[in-house]
Amino acid sequence: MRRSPPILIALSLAASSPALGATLDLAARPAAVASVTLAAAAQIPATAAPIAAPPAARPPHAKGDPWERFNRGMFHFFQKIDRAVFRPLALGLGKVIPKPIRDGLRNFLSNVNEPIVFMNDLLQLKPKRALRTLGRFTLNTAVGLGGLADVAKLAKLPHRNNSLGNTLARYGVGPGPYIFLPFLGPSTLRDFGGEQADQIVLPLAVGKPFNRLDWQLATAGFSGLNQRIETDEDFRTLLSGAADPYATLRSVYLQSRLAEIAEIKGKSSAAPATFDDPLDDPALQESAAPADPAAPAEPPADPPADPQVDPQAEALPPSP
Amino acid sequence: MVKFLSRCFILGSFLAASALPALAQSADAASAAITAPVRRLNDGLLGIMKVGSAAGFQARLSRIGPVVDQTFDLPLMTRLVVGPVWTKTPAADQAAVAAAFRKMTAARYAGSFSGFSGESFVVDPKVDARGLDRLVHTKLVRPRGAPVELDYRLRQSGGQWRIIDIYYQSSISQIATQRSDFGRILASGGAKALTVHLGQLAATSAK
Repeated sequence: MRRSPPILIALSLAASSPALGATLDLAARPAAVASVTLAAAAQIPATAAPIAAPPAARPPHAKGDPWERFNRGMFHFFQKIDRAVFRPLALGLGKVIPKPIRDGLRNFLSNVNEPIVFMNDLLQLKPKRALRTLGRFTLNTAVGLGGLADVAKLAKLPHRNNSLGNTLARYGVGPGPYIFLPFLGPSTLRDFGGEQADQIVLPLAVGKPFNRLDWQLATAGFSGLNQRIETDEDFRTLLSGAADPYATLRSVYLQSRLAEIAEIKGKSSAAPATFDDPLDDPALQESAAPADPAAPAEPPADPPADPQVDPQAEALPPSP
Repeated sequence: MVKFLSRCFILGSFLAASALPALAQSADAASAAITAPVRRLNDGLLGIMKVGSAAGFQARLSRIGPVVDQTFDLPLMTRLVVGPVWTKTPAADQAAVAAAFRKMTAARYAGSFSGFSGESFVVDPKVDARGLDRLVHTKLVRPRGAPVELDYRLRQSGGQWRIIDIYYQSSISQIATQRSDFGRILASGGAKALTVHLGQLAATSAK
């Protein structure tokens, strides 16, 4: 939740309702995802672990989330701060500062970040996309009062986020471990690192005011609080009914990034990446492949989903 | 000879002309059979949205319940959500969790789709395929705000196409998300604990 424009993370309504408009702009940063590499990377340990490792040696975490214990700690810590301070502060601020002013500031900070988007468009060898980003930046800076008004959106040049995390994914870098940090939200090692690098560019290339600590604190503070205001309802919709909010957020975040990476890689966006999961019926699998933990049925975007890989699930005593 | 050829040509074009629409029609018919459950669900949802909160939760539930039964493959969805533990679950617990899953699904629709303000559903007739499954793309168009993309995954069961998963904004699978969300409950308390949780979700939707 830094100055970088939020990516739109679409969050499904937790359980069944494809409810109205639950997009969650939780988006901490431009980068974030589980690339298709995750599927490949994740399947290898999934195959090997249960066979090679003795049961006691299995790490107590879900696939793709080796730092789960730490992450869960951070998540619960953040939930406490959020309930006690952060959310009340954000919502209070939302009442004091009118939405048009907040939107203007958000647009301005998003516009400031467009050169980084442009840079990544180029790094990904996407000249058309880069031109659109450049056009957007020029238009908003010149006509949109330095970016306060998003006039480019009206000219069919909407904001399309891009980041070094996407660029790395484009060239085959896998997501690495999942990370959840308070205020920064969900990410992966690749995307977190990518974001840090993205954020150094302006301070190094332009200098003032981007290299000033007060600028960085003020913009990060504003972006974080504003995002909290705008995502409050979606957050509640997603997580209020969740049995395991941490795992739900992780799953939705990783699936959403998987879709973004698929788009960056030029895969047909017609079908979601998770459509590739064959969703084999467990009742039929019994006869076909009794206990193959590496069954290709594994949802690539969803590390915690396969109970066979979850040590706790494996330790489950048969129900009486 | 020329006459014969031209007659053949005429006959050929006549055959082609009559056969092409027939082919197109059968493709349309196949696509229509696949999208039918989705359209039926959408009609059902619009129906309960229009009767709205005035009708009350129970009335909406009794309207959408049969639609959900006929359009989703709820037993398969339950098995997918429970995952490999399913085969180790006693039959009585399997039946209980399937019933709870059905109740939760219907209750969530009845709870969420409780008002109408000019929304409409658009179903793309072009269907995507992956193995035996099909993907139907739809949009929920709202008077205000961007349309919401909802893709439905269908699989044939007993000769009928049934919905087995929903992708929110073409990227977030409901089954994958539920598998994650329920993973801990299943690990600690098995299908029985999940049955209790699904019951709570259904009860919350009724409020």
